[in-house]
Amino acid sequence: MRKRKTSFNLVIGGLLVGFFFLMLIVSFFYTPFAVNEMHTTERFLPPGKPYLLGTDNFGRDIFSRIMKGTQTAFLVGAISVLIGLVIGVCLGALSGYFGGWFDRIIAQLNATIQAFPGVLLALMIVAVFGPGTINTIVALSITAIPGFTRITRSGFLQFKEYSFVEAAETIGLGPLSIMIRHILPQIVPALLVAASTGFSSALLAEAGLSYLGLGVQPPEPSWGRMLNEAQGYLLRAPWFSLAPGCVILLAVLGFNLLSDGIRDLFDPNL
Amino acid sequence: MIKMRYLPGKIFSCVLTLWLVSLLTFIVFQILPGNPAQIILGAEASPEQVAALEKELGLDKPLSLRYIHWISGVFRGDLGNSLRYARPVRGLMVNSLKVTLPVAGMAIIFIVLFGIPLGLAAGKYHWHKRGVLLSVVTQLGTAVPSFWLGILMMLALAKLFSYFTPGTFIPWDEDWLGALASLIPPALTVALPKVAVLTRYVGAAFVEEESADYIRTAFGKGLAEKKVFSNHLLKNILISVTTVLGLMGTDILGGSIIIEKVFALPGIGRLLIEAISFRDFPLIQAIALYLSGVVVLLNLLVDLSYSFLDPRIRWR
Repeated sequence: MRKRKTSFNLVIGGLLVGFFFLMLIVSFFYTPFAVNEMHTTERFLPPGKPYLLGTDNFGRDIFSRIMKGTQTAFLVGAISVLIGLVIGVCLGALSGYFGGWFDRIIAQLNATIQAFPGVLLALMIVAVFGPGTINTIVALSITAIPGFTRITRSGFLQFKEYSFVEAAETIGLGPLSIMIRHILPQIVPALLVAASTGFSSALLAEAGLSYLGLGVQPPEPSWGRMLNEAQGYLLRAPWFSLAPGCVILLAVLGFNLLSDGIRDLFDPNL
Repeated sequence: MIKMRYLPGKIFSCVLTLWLVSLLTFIVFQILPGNPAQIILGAEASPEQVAALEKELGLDKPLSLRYIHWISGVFRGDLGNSLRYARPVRGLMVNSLKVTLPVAGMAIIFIVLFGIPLGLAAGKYHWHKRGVLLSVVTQLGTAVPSFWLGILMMLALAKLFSYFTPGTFIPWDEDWLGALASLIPPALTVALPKVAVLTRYVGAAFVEEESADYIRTAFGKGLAEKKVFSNHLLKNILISVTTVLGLMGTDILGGSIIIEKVFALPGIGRLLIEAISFRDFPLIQAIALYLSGVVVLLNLLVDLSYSFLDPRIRWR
């Protein structure tokens, strides 16, 4: 019973994520209509033919814009998770392995970052540097660092006491090679899980920021900003609000399930 | 006996965090290009006028003095004046909090009211069809973007009850019942994704605790199922629920920033977004300090609550 449920998470999550990656790749070569092509006589068309998910307030094809929006969402998500991961792992490894004052400073800095609830830190960064894709990535990267630091630190704290590390020390390996070649591989599953969850939080945060008008700016299509534009026509064209929201939901769901699936796959007790 | 970290050390760390937050937000906005005096007076102001206002605002003094001036004002409850509204920041914030805090409070009530019973049901029926269905629903619930949920809620209210009144918040002193009613949809919007999270959490805790030795012992000594659950299982689950709820407080605050925009409520989130768009630094600094202060305090309370709820944990 338990076994079946775990693979279920992985399969559904994998399928959803796979679908989005397919849409991402296809969107580089083909969208049914050009993203910013306006059909002023065909505004607010309900879903059907030839506009699969209908048209928006400028008569633009919603489906094409959602496809193109995948690029923005995944670009922001992937880069910010990657930056957060790299910085977080470095800081966490150093503070977990060496401890001492460095550990304390890092812990205090993380506590400071985490004192900003939700999107507040991202909002502050946007307030300083102005809205835009790059600044959104910077903001979300910084938000992502503490989580990765914490996981890496606790992993290093745990594994540095193990006898395989002691053995590596005995044969004369330096700290750097022990950290990279012996301890780091042990926490890769935990980092993968965190990266997948982090990706879904980044998707949500980007959508939220763009919804507030402070994230990705026009003309780049973004799921969050589509919702912002759609809300004004909520009663006139409900599908305009429904489609981007469903897409965000499915993408976040996919990465959440994938993260659960990876966790169950490597270690159910993780 | 589990020993917690030294309590004064914990409090010191919280104070340090808040100090760093205040320092960071202050410095970042002070060294930014863009002269507040120029912003207030507009582009047509003469340099003399700007210089005079700078002097009046204390902008001609060095950065460190200005920080000390600001932070000592914070301790006296004086947060300075908003650049955009030309009114004390404190009054603006108090007015906004009259909207935000009730929304957050109601959201927490909804979360506890729905999340704990649903979580217990999810745990109890873990292997049943009902449990699986609940698990699917909560999995969806944790993934739904809250602001989209708010939009859906408005759509549903409009279609089902012809109730469509975004942006018409009734002030408390006009009609407090109406004000309360208009805050229920946003509070539900903030709450529902968190209900899903809490349901999953309580469900998982239930399943885990169910197989614990003390439960077997309780059953073994002939205690009725109801008694086992209410006296033993629930008690142990609630300890961790308190932690989760405390940490959720952070998310609720952060989430309400966006939800207020969806429902066009004049709360702290909207004030912050307006402040950001107008680069109203005193207002941004005060709101950031306030929000992070609440977060730090909540985290501290969560830490303190351990020793009250779990007698095995004592502060050193």
